[in-house]
Amino acid sequence: MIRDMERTISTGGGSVVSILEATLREQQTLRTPVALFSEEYDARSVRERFSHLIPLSKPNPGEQLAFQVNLDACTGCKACVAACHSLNGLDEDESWRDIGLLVGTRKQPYLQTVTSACHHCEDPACSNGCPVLAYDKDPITGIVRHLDDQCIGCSYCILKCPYDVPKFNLKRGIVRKCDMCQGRLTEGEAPACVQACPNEAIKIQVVKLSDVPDRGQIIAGAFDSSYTRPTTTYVSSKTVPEAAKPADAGRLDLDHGHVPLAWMLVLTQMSAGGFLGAALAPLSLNEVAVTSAVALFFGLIGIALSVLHLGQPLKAWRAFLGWKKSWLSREIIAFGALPGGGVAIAVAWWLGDLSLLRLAVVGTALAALGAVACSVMVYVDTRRAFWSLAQTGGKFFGTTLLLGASLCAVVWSWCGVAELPCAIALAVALRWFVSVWEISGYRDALSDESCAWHKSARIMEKYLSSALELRGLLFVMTGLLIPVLIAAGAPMPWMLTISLLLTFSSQLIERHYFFTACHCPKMPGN
Amino acid sequence: MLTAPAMTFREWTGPLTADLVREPAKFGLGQVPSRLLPDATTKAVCGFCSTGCGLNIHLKDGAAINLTPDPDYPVNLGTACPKGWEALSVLDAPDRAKMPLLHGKEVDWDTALRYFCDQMKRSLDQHGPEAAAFLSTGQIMFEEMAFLGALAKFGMGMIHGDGNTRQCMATAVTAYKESFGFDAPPFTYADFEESDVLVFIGANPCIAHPIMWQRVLRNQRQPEIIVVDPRTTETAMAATQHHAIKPKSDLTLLYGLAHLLIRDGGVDQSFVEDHTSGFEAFAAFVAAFTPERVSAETGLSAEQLMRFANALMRRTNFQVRSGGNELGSSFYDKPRVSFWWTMGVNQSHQATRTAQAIINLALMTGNIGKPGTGANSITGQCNAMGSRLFSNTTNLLGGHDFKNPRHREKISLATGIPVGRIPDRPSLAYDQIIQAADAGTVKAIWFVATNPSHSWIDQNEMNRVLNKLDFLVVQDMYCTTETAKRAHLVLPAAGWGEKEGCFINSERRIGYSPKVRRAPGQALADFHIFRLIAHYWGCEDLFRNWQTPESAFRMLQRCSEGQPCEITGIEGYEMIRKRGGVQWPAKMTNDEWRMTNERRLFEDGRFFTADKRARFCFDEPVAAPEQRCDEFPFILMTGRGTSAQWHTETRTGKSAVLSKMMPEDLMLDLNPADAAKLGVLDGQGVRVISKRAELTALARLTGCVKPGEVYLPMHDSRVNQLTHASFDPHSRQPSYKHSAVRVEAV
Repeated sequence: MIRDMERTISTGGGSVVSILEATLREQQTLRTPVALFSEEYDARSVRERFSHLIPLSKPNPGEQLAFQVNLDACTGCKACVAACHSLNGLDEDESWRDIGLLVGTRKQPYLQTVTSACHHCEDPACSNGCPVLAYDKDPITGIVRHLDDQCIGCSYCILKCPYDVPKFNLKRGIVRKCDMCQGRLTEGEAPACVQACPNEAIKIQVVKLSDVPDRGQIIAGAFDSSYTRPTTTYVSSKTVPEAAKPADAGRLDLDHGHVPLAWMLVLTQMSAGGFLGAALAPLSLNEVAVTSAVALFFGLIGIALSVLHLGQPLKAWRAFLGWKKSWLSREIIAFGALPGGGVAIAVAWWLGDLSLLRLAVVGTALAALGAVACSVMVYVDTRRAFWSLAQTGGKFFGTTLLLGASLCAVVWSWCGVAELPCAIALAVALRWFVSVWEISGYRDALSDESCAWHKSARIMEKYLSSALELRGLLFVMTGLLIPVLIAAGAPMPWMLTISLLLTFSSQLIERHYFFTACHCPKMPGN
Repeated sequence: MLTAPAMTFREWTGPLTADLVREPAKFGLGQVPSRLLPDATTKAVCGFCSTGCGLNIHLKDGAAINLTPDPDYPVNLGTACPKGWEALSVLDAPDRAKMPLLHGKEVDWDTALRYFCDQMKRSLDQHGPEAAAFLSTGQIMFEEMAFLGALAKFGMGMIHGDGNTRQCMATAVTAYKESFGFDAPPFTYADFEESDVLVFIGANPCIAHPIMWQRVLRNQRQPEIIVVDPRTTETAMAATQHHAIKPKSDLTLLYGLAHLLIRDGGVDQSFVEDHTSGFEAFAAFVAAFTPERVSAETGLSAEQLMRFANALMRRTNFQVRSGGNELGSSFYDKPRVSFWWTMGVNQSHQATRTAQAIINLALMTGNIGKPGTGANSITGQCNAMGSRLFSNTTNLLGGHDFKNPRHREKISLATGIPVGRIPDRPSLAYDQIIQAADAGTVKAIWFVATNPSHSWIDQNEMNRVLNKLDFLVVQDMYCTTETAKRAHLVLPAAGWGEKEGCFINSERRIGYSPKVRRAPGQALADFHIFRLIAHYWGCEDLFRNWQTPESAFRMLQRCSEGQPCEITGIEGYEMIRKRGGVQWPAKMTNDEWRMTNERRLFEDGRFFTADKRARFCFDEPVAAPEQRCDEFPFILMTGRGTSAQWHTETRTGKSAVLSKMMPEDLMLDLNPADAAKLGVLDGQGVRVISKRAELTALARLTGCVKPGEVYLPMHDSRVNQLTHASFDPHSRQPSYKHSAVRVEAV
């Protein structure tokens, strides 16, 4: 058809090409700067235009800088989000301001846009949790600044912040967050979001630390202020209805899975359980040595796997720095004791001294249990409902005992240790106990809307039902089928090894949704 | 990216910290990211909506690297909505059309242009001048739009061409023409700041025109803000009075208000007598719109109606300011009332009469031609106003009439086009062109910068007709629009920022936008494409004067001579840039316009009709054609989702930052009482079913829609499969806001 047409059009070939080429060339030519703008210099400076929206002087002792949002003036244009992105040169989808919506009820129609960035909390959870001290709360301005080059990309601050402020930057392997445009404020310029708001709804003010609320919520849908004492204030001439809720309150979303962490937790807990078995059972020198060697092996794999979780692993050696406040730092230090314990055990075994060996094993077991306790606290300290002390402690120590007993049973069955029946009985009993506790807890949480982790239960019901069913199947196999088969005379070491693998898988699945069903608290969303 | 640690305990600086370092820029910009430090700046008018904000473009080596709102531009005073902030990033999308696509395969321009001309000629030669049509847009510059209209009609010999402005602005055009004698929105944005009472009807400027809302909030007169909208929108939340009428009962409400104004002495008798015609007939007509009737039909109580009417007659919330100055309350007794409307009015089965009912209220209360007054249509697209005057579709260039021989002579003289090439009849309207395509009279359609496969009402019907065409051409920035995917030929176009020209905003302000980016691949400015088509068609001699956008601009200035929209006084692009835009009229023979940069029309009370009087136009209200029934018990309204979304999202959908500002899923606003009956939980999936199609969405339970009413944002490509195609008989504008649907839990 094209060839037909070429015959029908009789334009001079030469001139056609030239006008086309000329046009294509013209399209690619930009005018010189001189031709484009002549005297458009020195518009009123940014400093003058926004000086009324920032404090004139530095905060005094006992004060800090804070965002103030006038809800009456915020009508939902979201320019602050775009301006934060553009004026700070952030990545493609990155902005440190977020926008959400509060909606009313049937009886009280209500609609309010809520803009939020970092609340530069008086007691910043992100900073308290950071294992490498990659956060700095400025002693004068109170701005919570993130030190990008110090960050190891462990994401713990993301779990710690109840407002979903720090964001992981995959390209750089670190977290980044709002610094209230500290550099601009130093120069007397307003932060990007303040500059961008058409209605001057956002400003920077000086607040007295004694006025920062330590209870209630800064706005409907926000986390309880007692945790971090956020400094942002939302003001309005209208009262926000009691029943106002975030527009995304009904959303059920899976959270990040943190796969390396799930493996690390289950492996280190199995290891701790193995050490516990080695320490408690009246074993011979070689039996103690073999049991603790196997426990150590899995523990070290777990610790090694946790490094995969880091965005900047080469900087992880600083992880002890945050020990004063960070449970993650303490957990890392505690797990650091395992290799030392391993050396001590090896030396005692080589010396052939059973009592020395016992001392080393008991010491290592205590260190490992301490590390598991730290692991529990890492999550409890985030104040997330699904990660309460009862939930997390029950799961982590339940796993420790269950997998410890299962691991000992396997090792002892292959080595012909006399205490084997105790280990088997304990493993089966623990399997029943842990599963029944978990299942009944889940059912209660699902049916009881007032349960703190009701939403997590709904997420599990919506997205994770096949995982739950699979765990049910694994429970039947390890708690019923395999014990029956063993009683019926199936080869014990093989049966126990399979049972350990299945139990391990079951706990790994549980640990996966420990993360994905967590439902992180955040500011109101869309 | 792994970085090695420094041998210190804490690294306060380093390469990752340096990524975010800001430094002071010149040009009054304050600090900017170091890697985006400009070496120069220039100014442009934004290419999304009709607000027409000024943007400072940051340049490095002549190319745009970033932008900030222009603090010196009289429209936006240094702010912009997120679309404006993201105007550059959407140019970098991977799905930009880079080469012409013939049946989906890349071809060179020579092949594409030859094919285009051959197919168009074949249709026109075989089936006559009605067999090919163009459908253009309010998204390209008006020099380009005029070139398209001139090329298609004068050069290629088409009769029919319309624009997507039919979907947004046709009603305002028709209403103003009949009432004022010319399509002349009378206001300037300063009126937002100078009103005592602002009445918003079918408008949600907080979301749709946030920068106009900025001007409302700058109003220092403690204004009464009255919102008429079935939904509790962001704007309704910010109002002092919200009247949540039944969907599409606005015309009855407006007549009812006129009734109350007449009854209670709210009429400005001297203005009505001196400057209007037809008031007596109108007064007799609205006598039937008693509060009882209006209350029953709109769902508002009689008290609400009185409160609304009173606000138009007397200042109710005036408080003496500045230490109790003694101007006296009587000075302020008569409030300055401005009326503002947009899509809720324009997209209706009786849209023109509704817009005119608003105009009638302004006329009868004398609220026109004075600061803080007016019957004011807020326009939609960045160049809808340019399209209305210069697109050469329903009007001959410059707001002239194709049927008028003197107008054809005048345009012939102004443009150098032989008068015999100017058609003597206007085009069919958009929906009629599509009907003609269905009937087989129109065989080929050329779409420029518009996406009807997504945006047209009762979309499946539109797509069925598009599939019947012999030749479908789409000229667009993106090759992935729903319409481009159906096209036989796609012509890759440069976008805003990659070409120069002017837009006309809602307040009649002509603003300039320069070329500051290189277009991707071989995409060409629409202006260039038209020039090439003229050449390949063999009619380039007719368009000798259309060498550059600025030379086309000069010709359009000549076309405007003697019209209400005359712009002969503008000296060129440089003047537009330096003055912060120029509003029409700007006559060469009259220098008054040079004194101020914010002007309104009709200050002398003389309108553009033959007798210089504004007309009262009215008709009996009729019910919307598709009503609720047992099978489809909900009324579906559609409209803007968020300020970050624009129409079919061919552009805004490309920005990751804008995407963060909207819900991830399509959300159906549903009243909790209805949800309880349907057994639907907040956030649960629902099926929305109309007679035409069905879709699934997530329910957002909110009292902001009333029981029996649901709302969907128009940006999702499935929504217009549901909508019922009805049209205003005068403006032919589609009515997107009243379809019957059923909702089911998934």
